[in-house]
Amino acid sequence: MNGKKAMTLTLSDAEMAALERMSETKDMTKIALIRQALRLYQALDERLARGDKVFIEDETKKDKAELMVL
Amino acid sequence: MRTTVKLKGQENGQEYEAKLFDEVTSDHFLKSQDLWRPVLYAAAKALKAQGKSIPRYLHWDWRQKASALGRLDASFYGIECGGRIQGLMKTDLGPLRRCRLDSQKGKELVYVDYVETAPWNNSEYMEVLGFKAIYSRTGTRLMQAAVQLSVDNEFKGRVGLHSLPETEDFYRAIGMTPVERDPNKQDLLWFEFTPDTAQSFLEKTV
Repeated sequence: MNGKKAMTLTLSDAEMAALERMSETKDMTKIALIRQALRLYQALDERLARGDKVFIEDETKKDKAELMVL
Repeated sequence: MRTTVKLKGQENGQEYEAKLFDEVTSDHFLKSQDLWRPVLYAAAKALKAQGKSIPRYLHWDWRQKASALGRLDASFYGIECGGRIQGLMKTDLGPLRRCRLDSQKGKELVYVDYVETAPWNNSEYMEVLGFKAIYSRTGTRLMQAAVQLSVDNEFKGRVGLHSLPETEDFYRAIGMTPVERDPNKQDLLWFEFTPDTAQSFLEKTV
């Protein structure tokens, strides 16, 4: 990884509560979680921009639901 | 990142300084493809002539992975020694990759998507061509980088991968746990490092 830059992030109470919950559940810092979210968003956005569809599959029922990105 | 690691000469047992780096470019893919594939094809031909199985990764083309350079969910590593690329690795840090081992199920990990060492470092391939292999420990150094990447991203050393049949013994030897064959990935065997086995691997292979 190349150089790093700092930024200030302002979140709503609900967003911060969700981040704190996930941070505790996953035993990861908030910044590690935000990095993961960014990776996921970039990966999905690139696929969708290419015209791909993204599905979520229920492994037991084999039901597939298209992930809607608005 | 650019750090010095040691490789071992397979013929004389001497240690050689190598550079492990993550600033991999498409130039590294071009060079490795140009230098590695002719040797690998020659070895595959000789192995086939002897009735032995040929490398399952013969068709890999690192140039096709250039589109993933710069992606946030992909990290690449290379090792250079003696002016040549000795190994390359592509990892996936995306949050959709998860542990499968019961004790770690659902937790984030670094997925080793592709890892390849130069064919002249493989003793089986070199012997069939009438040569001695050059360096050992290239794969080990790359796997150390994968574990370190996992630690740096707070995945606690968890690493997972699908192993080709010819490399299953290597992953067992470095302490990864074989979990299950994956019917969705050519029935390849899924291996994992847990935080404990990853720590043990790092300590044993300083």
